[in-house]
Amino acid sequence: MAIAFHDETFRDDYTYRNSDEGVKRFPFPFGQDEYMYSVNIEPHAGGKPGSVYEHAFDIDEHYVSECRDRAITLERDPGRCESLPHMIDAEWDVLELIMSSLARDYPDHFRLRQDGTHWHWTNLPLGIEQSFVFGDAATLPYPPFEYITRQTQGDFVILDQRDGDLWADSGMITQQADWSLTFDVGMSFKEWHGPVPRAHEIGVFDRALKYLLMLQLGKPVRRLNWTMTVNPRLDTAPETYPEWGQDRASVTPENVGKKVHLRVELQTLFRLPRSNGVLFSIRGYLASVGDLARYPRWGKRLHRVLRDLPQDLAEYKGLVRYKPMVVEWLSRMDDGAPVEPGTHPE
Amino acid sequence: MNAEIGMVLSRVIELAPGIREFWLAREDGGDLPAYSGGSHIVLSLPLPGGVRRNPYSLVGDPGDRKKWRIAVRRQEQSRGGSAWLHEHAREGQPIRVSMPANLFPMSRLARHHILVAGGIGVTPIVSHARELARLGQHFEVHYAHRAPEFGVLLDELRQLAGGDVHCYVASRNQVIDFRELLGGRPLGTHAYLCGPQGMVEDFHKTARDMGWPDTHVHSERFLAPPPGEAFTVKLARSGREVAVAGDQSMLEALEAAGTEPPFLCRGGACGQCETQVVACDSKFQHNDLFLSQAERDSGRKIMPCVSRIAGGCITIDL
Amino acid sequence: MSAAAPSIKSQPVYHALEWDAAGVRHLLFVASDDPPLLDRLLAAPPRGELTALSTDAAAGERLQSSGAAAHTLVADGLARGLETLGLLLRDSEMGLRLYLVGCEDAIWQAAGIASGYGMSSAEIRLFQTGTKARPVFCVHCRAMTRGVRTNLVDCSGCGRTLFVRDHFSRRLGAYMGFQIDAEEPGVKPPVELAYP
Repeated sequence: MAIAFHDETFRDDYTYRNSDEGVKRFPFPFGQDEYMYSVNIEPHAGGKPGSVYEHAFDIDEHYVSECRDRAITLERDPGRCESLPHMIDAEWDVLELIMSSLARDYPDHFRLRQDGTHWHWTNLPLGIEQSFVFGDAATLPYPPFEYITRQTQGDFVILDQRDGDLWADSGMITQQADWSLTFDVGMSFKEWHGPVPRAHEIGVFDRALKYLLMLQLGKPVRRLNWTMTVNPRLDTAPETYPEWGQDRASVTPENVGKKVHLRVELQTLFRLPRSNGVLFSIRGYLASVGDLARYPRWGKRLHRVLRDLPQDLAEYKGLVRYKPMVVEWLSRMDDGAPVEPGTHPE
Repeated sequence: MNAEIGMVLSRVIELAPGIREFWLAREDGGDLPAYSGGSHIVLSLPLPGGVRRNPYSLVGDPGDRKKWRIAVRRQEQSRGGSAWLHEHAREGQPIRVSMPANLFPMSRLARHHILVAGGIGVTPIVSHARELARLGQHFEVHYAHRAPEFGVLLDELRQLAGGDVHCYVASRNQVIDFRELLGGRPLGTHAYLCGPQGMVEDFHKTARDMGWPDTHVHSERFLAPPPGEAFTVKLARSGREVAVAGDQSMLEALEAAGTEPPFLCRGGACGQCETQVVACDSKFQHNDLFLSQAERDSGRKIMPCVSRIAGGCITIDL
Repeated sequence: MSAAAPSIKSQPVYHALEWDAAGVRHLLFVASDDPPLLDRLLAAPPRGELTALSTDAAAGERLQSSGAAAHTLVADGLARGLETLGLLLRDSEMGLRLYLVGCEDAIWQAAGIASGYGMSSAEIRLFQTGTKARPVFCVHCRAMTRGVRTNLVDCSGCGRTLFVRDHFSRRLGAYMGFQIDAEEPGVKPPVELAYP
């Protein structure tokens, strides 16, 4: 089934909008009134048709515009994509995984023809036709990992598994929630999670690492992560902090519903065949607080989670400046009645 | 539950007395996934007494997406798996096979690799050699076997290693001297061994004595679950009781009873099947390579793929 | 990003330095003199051959006069010392243990050279001594500003005033710096001596 792709911006004039369907399928992360870190990993083995969980890699109405925004970010700063030299096998693994998944799940938009190592890739939304030799980087216009992630929504990290640990040795990071690839590339699992408050003390990362080291081929897993952003901006990197940092102070009681966005990451992890590495896909979704609040369950739940969010978590997630305004705005629709557990909108 | 692929034995080749190579193809004729050097698959062998699951290293070229190759030695004290493969398996036999998993991977940061094979342990070493050759890395191969006719896959190894394969034939009194092998090596050298238990222990001990850090010394050994007395397993959550026969592992008994406990290597090394013990009225027999001494002493954990108790009943949290 | 960062798990923790009995050869690299540490180590040298390399003249003398090392080399400054370290490692064999003593800038640069020769963290022990001054990596322009003793520093590359975080990259051997007044330009907390 074909998707109607938007033509929108994630910077400057911010014309980004979600269609009604886009809002309804948003991966709202809060199933309860209170939020705390947990491992919360589950098998990534399909989901409700039309949901963000249905396919291995989710393509939605923002696909074309997101790819364009990524290209702009990379043009301004090529350092947002980096891959250490020993990761070349993993790069090809990722190219194969994404191409074969997209061709299988979105046959109206993507096609992959394979004749031994001679492959032909068709990306209709971006108008790309590419013949290449699988395994020969000289036959592609970019290195394999960069090539395919320029055509996929979401950020990607490839982890090398060695010495009983996972190492972030490759990344395409243009829509991160405020961490630096250049700084973090080459770090181990607990090192790059270093700045996250509380989670270390309750053993979240010990358990998560142990689990991921045993991740098996053909059995990917997923979890959700969240933060908030002012304006539907993808490039909220530390590198460009001087460009978007001031937005945090631009929130007013009048524009809260339109400007403040809930930013949810659908994180999926896949074991890779040739490299024995792990692909970490960080698929971001943005929805304005106003759009979410059209669904009372979501409005009330979001109100309660934010109202009771511990200060150090709010600081780490960068919400401190505007959180009070969001809480006040949402409080008006919260009658205090119990909301059943679950993340569904209605 | 582990993902399984419906496959069929497409070819059987006698490599040497008691050593056979098997080719596996998908029943539906489709493509197989690629895999990393050192990976193994677990075959569900349809023995008359019940399914027996054994791990075997993948030998062939991951670029060949139409078949997987393994080589199997008929074990003298076989619990049935390798015997069945040698006596009953025929071309065309359907077999269910797990996805590849790798507990013996290469280091991607090594400056030089020393690959050592003992007997049928040559199987993962061949796939390592193939991967290193493809990546253009520095490596050398050392292959110990009983007699010349048991040097299976040697031609293939020689071709992959550009001739740099050193053979040690026991019948000619040629033995690997690990001190000599590991001495005088530049920083960043990694050594890998797959072979019988005694050889692996000697390898690790020598490496340690010579100051090699564990990070640079890798081995894989396939433990067959040792037999013992029959005993009973009680499942705490359902109250069900499962009988474990003397020549059956606890994991196999649980599977035969319809439960699907997690597993990966089935050889006591990887930790995937670690199970909490609620109660036990008998002596533990920990045969694994995974639990610490403290964990064994606690009486609260067991690895059902290889460990047992000496008769009696054990209650586990399943 | 917040200026009130709690202690971060990526920040290295340095344990009291001991010889690694599992090694059969040892290489001690000293970039800052630390008399009590060196005296303790040299009073009970490890089993196996010990080589010492110092970029600090006083430490070099101490090492030489102790006679504990089979070979003692003194290099003229850090850059020369790191070069010499590289040459020693190039010709070293498996079984070696490397000990890096000095300020963080020096020991992590040395660790980077050792990683280049395929050494793992199991073969390397680091100990911070001397100044606590930090190398700071500017996340905006990617310049490195060394010898930073204060909580804020003007980036040597782009001039922005950077807050010096506790988030540390072993590969870069540096702490992260980001613009402290990005949310409110011109509003900066007071500069304090933080890493003397």
